[in-house]
Amino acid sequence: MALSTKIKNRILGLLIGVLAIVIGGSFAVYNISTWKNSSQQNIGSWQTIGKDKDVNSNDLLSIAQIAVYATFPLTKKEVIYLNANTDSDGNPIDPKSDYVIEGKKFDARYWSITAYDQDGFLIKNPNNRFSYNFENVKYATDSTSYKINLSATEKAENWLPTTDTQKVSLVIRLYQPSDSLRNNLTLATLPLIKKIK
Amino acid sequence: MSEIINKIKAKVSAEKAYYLLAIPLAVVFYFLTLWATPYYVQYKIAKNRVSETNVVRFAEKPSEKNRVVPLPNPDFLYSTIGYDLENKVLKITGSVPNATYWSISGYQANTTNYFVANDKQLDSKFEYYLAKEGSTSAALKDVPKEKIIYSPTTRGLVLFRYLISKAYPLEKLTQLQHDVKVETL
Repeated sequence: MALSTKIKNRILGLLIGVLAIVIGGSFAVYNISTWKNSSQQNIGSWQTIGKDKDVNSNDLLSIAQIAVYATFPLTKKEVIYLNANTDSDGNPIDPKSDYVIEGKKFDARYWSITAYDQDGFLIKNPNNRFSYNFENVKYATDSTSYKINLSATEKAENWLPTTDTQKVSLVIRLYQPSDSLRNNLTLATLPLIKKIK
Repeated sequence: MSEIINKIKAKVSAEKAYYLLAIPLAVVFYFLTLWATPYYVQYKIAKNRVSETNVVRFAEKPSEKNRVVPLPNPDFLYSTIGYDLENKVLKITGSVPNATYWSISGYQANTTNYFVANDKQLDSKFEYYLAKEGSTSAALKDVPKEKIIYSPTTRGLVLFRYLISKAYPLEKLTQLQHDVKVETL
């Protein structure tokens, strides 16, 4: 028995409604996964929250992205976070290549540079070394500058391993930065990520 | 209103009407998904990590084995209290280190931070009362305002951060970490 026009229209309405819900939800999931939003500020390889934004802003997309990829951060009053997935030439950081992270100590109460794997977790390595910070990094003779070796191959000094991972991202944490640092986050104040080989 | 609907029906076929309605429906579900995602994340983390509410959980130093909350800081010791303030006030006490970074922070049900206090702002001991916003509990009657933390949501998370440093190596910090007590009032 052929369906009446009314029933056909209702089925069509239901299918279109379900499709609309799936499209709307999927687009949201896709946007969350890109980790890009209007609250971000780019400084060379590094991304951070924009000057007039914060991690608990009213921007739904930012809040969703932070919840998924950087859960439970502190606001800018306490910490500034910067992350990088590319080197200073703009190419994705390759865990099989060698890099040098070159920088100077930050004017903050505590600072660190940490490497994470493709899922945002610490990278398994034979030295259980996941980061360098203001106390354990070996400085150059000027006691201010440092070079951290980001590599899968062991290095003699300041080796930050990228063994056993498909991708690498870096996060800088600046706890209680000075006002001058807070207001002057520029290419000159942030480390370079240079590919060596 | 029914006249307007009848006029629309006369001009627009049912098919076209469904397609037109699909657009705002997709937009609504786009924003609904964004809004719901942080609540879902909080729920999943609570399910994975917190066996009971309103008790403190002491975590070990993060390593590659910690794969629940992304971007853990390997320089920190963490402790958490997954809380439920339905008809309750929590009294949270503990020790504050005097030569390394320490903080207590509150996160509401959608994982956003609403409170933080650090070691520079407190003495060697801390005492906080955690209550839901608008709480009229008698337990808060004589408590100084600066000791009360009001949570915007009934459920949420309190997170402690302890910086492992030369002044406070891991063993010393772990003893301090275990000083935190939670009492339900």
